[in-house]
Amino acid sequence: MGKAIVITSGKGGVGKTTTTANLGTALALMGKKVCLVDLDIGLRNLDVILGLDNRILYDIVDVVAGRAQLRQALVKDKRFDDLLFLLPAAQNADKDSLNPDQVRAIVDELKPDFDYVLLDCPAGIEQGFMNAIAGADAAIIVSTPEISAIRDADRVVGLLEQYPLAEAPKLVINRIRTRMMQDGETMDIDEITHHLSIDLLGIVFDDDAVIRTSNNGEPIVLDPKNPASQGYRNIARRIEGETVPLMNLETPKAGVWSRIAGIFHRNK
Amino acid sequence: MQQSVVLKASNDGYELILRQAASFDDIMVDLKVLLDRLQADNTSDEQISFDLDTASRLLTADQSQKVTQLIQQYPLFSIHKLTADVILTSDALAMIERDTVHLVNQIIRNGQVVEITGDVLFFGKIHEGGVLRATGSIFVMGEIHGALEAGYPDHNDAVIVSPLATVPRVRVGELLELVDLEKVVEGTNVVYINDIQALDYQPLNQLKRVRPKLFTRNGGRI
Repeated sequence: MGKAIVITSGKGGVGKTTTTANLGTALALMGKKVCLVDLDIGLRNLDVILGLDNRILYDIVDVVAGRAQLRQALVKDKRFDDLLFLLPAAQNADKDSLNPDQVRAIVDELKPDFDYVLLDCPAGIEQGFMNAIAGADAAIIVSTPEISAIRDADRVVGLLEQYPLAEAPKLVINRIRTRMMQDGETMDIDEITHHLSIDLLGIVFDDDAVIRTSNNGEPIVLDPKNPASQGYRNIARRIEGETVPLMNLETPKAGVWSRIAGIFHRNK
Repeated sequence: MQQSVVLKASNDGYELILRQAASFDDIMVDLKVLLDRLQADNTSDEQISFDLDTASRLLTADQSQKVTQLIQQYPLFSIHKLTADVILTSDALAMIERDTVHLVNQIIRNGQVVEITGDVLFFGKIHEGGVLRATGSIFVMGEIHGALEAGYPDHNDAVIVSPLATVPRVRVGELLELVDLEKVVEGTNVVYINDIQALDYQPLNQLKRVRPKLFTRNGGRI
C-alpha cells in the first residue's frame, strides 16, 4: 500500500508544482512507482513541467464524472519504465467540480498500485485545498524564505492541525538564495524551521536551471550535478527513510575563489 | 406531622426553609397556611421580605414561579432571594472552568483563534496573526507575536500580564488598541482598564495595586 503525500503551501508561486514534479521524478529515479495527481483544477501546470501536456486524453474531472476509467486518464512518463504516472487536472472546469470524498476515493484507488501518490495542491485554503488534503496521509509544506510565504505556511500548518493527517506536516524551504541568506537579508533555515515549529524535510537552492529545464518539460532532478536537483534528490531519499545531512549553504559556490571571497566577506 | 415549611427569624430578616423531604405540593399547601397566619397576625403594615432557602432541592423554573406567585398574592410579602445548598453539576463545572487558571502550552498559528473560559497562564507561542482570547485574565510566560484579548467580551476588570515589545494588538474587556510602544514599559507590562475607562500599561510591580482582587481569590496570596 502506497503513501499519499500532499504538497501544499498556502501562498502561490513558491514552487509546489515544481516540487511535486521533481520529487516524483526523483522517487521514480530511485525505482519507486509514483503517481502525481494535479489538483489545480482550471490552472493545470504539472503536465507542462513534466513535458506531458500534449499526451493528455482524459483528466481527473472526467474520471469523477464517469466519462473515463482512472486507468485511462493516467498519463505514463515514457522516460521511466512504468514508474511515473500523472493524473492531470481538468482545464475547463473549476475547483468546485471535485469534492473531498471524490478525491479520497481516487487516491484510495491509486494507493494499492503505487509506492507514492503525490498530490499537487492549488494555492489558497479554499475548496481546492480541502480536496487536496482529504486523501493525504502526509503533507509537505513548501515555503520560500520570504516572510509572506512563511506566514501563509504557518496558516496552512494551523489548518492541518485542525484536519490532522496520519503524519505531522514537514517543511521544504524552496528557492533559497544563498547569498541573501548568508547576508541576513532573508530569514535563515534555522529561523524559519524554529518559527514554524515543524520538522524540516529539506532545502532547495534557487537556480536558473530549474526554470530553464521546466520550460523544456524536463524536471531539474534529471541533472544529477545541479544543486537544486541535489536538494530534491535528498528530500526524496529522506522521504524513503534515509538519513541525509542537510546541504551546506556554501556548497553551490564551493570554488576556491568564491571561498576566499566568502572569507573576506565575513571579515568585513 | 412535621411542617414542610419552617419560618425562621434572624438578624438579617425572615427566612423560609423548605424541608427537603417534603413534596412540592405539601410545601405549597403549608406555605399558604403559614402565610395566611402571618398575614392575620401581622398588625403593622411593614413590608416583609423573605429569604427562601430550598435546602438540598433545586426548584424548577416552573416551581419557583409558583412559589413567587403565591407570595406575591400577599401585598406585604415578597421574596428577597432564593438560596439552595446545592447547584447543578453543569453549573459547578462551568464555575470551575471559569475560576481555574488554565495552563496553556500550544502554538497559536496565523489565523487561529484559541478561546478560553477563565484565566490563562500561557507558556506557548503565538505567531503573527494568531489570537489568544480569554474571558478572564492572561498571564504570559511564552513568546507572543499575535494578539492578546483578555476579559472577552466585556469583563473590564481582567488584565494582561505580559512583555509587550513584540505584541501588535491587545484587548481588555471592550477596549482594544494597537500596542502603543510609547506607553509600553520595559519588561513585563500590566495592561488594564483604568479609572477613566482607558487602556493603561503599568510595570509588573503595580499589579497588586491595580487589581488587588486577583490575589483574594482561590489560591491567591499577597
